[in-house]
Amino acid sequence: MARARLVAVAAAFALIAVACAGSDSPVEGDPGADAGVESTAGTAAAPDDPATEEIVAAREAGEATGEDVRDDSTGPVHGGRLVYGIEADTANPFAPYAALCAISCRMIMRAITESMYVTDAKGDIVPYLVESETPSEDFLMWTLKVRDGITFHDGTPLTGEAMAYNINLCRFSQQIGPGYLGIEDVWGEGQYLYYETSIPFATGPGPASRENGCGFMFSPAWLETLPNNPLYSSPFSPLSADERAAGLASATGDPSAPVGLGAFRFVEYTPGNGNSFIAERNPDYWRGPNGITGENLPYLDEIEFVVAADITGRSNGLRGGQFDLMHTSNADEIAKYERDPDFVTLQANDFGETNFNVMNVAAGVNPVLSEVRGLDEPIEMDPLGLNASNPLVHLSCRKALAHAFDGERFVEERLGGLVRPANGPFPPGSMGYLEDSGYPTYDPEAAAAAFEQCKTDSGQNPVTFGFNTTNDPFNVESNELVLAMWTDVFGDELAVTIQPIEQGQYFGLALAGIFEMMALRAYGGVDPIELWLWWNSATALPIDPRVPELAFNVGRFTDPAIDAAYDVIRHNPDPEARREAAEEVNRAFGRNVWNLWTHWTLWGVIANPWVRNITDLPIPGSDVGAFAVNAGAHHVAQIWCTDGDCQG
Amino acid sequence: MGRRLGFFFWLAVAYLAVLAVAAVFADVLPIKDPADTFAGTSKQGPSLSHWFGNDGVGRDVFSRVIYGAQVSLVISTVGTVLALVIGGLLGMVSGYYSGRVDRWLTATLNASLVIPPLILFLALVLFLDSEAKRRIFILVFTFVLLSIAPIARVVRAATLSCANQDYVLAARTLGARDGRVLFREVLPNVAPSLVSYSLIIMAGLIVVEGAVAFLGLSVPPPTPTWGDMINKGRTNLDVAAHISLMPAIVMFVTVLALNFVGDRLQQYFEPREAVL
Repeated sequence: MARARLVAVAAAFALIAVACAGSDSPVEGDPGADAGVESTAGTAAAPDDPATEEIVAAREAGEATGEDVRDDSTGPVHGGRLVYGIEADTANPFAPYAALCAISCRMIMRAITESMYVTDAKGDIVPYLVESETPSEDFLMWTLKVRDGITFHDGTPLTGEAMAYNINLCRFSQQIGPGYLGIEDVWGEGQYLYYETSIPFATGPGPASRENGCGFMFSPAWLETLPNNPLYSSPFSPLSADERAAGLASATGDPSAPVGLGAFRFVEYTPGNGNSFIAERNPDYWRGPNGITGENLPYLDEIEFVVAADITGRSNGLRGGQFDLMHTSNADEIAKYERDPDFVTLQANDFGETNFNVMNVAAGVNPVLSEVRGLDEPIEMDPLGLNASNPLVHLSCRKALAHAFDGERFVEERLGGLVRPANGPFPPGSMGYLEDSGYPTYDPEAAAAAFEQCKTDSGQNPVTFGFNTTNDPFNVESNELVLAMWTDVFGDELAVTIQPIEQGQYFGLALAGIFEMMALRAYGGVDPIELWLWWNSATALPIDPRVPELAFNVGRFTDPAIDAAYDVIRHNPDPEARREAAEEVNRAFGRNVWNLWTHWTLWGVIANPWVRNITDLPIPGSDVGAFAVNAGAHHVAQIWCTDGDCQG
Repeated sequence: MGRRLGFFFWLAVAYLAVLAVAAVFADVLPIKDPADTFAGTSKQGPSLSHWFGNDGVGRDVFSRVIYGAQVSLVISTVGTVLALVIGGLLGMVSGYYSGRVDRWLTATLNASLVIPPLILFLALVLFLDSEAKRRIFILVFTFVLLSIAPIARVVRAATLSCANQDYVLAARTLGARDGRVLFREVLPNVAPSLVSYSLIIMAGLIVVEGAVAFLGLSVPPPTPTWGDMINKGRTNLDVAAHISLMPAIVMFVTVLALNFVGDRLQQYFEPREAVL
């Protein structure tokens, strides 16, 4: 009995102790920092340091790029093992046709392999593993020259055939395949890659195979061994049933042990929060001493990405020296570091992502999908009626919620006032951004009026739905504020259940359509063409557990105006026409309130001061370097540590 | 009977009584609505208008601590009472009949003691619970499962010690049935130790609920619970420690008070049993 008492009291003390953990953090607003244009580091500076003010100004203008401009005149030093605290693990790692690849995954991808294209510092998507691209006059054929002399980690060469194999796996994938609509064939010969299309791709081939996702290249010898290879498992596979069975029978490879061609080679991966991905220096890296460019990359001996989903834990890991650097999109946390002279704080919101609540509007039929699949019968979006009671299929309900959300208050109270409330998918500075997108503004009276219509349309009172959020306490509390704003306007006529969900399952539920409303962060990209996969009718797939399909258009909306605008964005070379089309996409979102926008993301890459040259990678053959922090992700080959000694 | 329970006993009882009354009558007390978010007060420290300060979205921490007590006390009280009924019955049967019944029951109860509470809860949530709003029932169910064995062991020991007392033998000799002997003769004599131990079990359940809520697996938000408040306050410990500390202190004092009362009651009843 005495023991039970002791345990109970000790546990209570333990809870208090946990609550107090990390309370040695410096006080917010600690004045000054030795700041570059986008970085603060080293020694203290006055609060009114012009450089610090320049950071704030860039951030407020939506033009913070995350560039690391510290003086590195001492030159890089080889050596060291860098530990990077990342926000999430990767679901279905790491084959590009299957991985649900958010920012943390992209960081790992950028270490282990590289992509066909990269975004340069001017915001242009330029060839990288590809050397050049040439269209035919009618834009129905593209010829890409692949860099010669690059090898995968297994020693096999990067050729046109290897690239074509990578791309075709994505084309045949049930999940990603719709992103390649209009591409008839992809094949390689020697160092050349060919795209044949049925419609003119005037802005470049393969929008889904660029800087991220299927743009990352892996060894075909490895991909051939994977059991989830779409050639063996996808209904879109061109192989016969016998060939698929034979391929599957011999597929014993491990998708979580990737064989890429990047600066680092895979060593070990243990999934789950608190676990890590470890990679070692690739001595045959194409930009290394044995490579083709005459460079000396990478500088680090080893890099480890540790998943620390909880921002407090990740931040404490950085402060305690467990991590050399970390990333976060938690603006409240970035605010604590902004003027802290003990850390380097790079901030980026240019071409950044948008935070929003996506609503499941699956209902009716999807004629575009029927056409894509060559079916005469219309495809029902919700054949079992699983989403039938969701009031958010009604525009009136979506408008009511949008009008009742006070974005200014939200960013001020939850995000330190460092970010801007969003009114559409395109942040300031991006193609398609509009000061007034037509999206409902905060207006409680208009909200109440729309809500009356919502009750009629849905036949519900109270109007009831579930609201999914990740189980990160900060996110849960933020969405409690959103709910409180709605409750202030609608009272007990609105019944919302907030459902915190573990990060690992979270995005899978979105793709499968098992939700009514859920908070997401997505839509980063330098060109709207990168976002087409998320919004077109062909990727709005039915919710049907009998034939489960994962849809990138997670809200499952079909919008002819967006489809038509994307015909221009994808196929018209005229920049002005593309800009106008992107703005029409923005207006369509505003009219139909497919998503409830909250704010545009600010990314922070925060490091201990011994971590150098965090974001600035030159592009071979170009005077312009790579874009520093693109939607939270940056390159790692160029990073080095003072004296070649990282301390994580 | 001449022994005194002492000042601190009554202080602890008074604290628990005030807390229970506040939790039960929270809706009619002149405190703020725990769901109200006061614009511009996010993370503000204690003040005259918000005694325990405001949380990360501007809600009144004091009222959330009071409403949070509802969840903690309901779950721990219901869990303890159900466990008392089941565990008490099993313990009395085991101790009274001894022999094969006692061996089987004791072995089963001992086996159940090796189940780690959090693992059991997480497994039950995983397999039984698809929606957070049903989680309170799983919490209570888990707590009952966890508490049966410790209570049954205590009751069995107490039953064993009084099953051979003269008054029990006298009742049997007079032809009383087992049920009557158990409930009329044994139960009143094991009740004091049962009550004192149940308070300690209750304290333990409050802590377990806090741990579960800290993991984000207790009742769904925005319903306040102490563990959930401590968890959410973690992100602001450097700038607004009161968000976590206030519910943590209240939880600590509550657990301490329950343990102290249980402990004192046990000491108080022990000499009485000796006299018997």
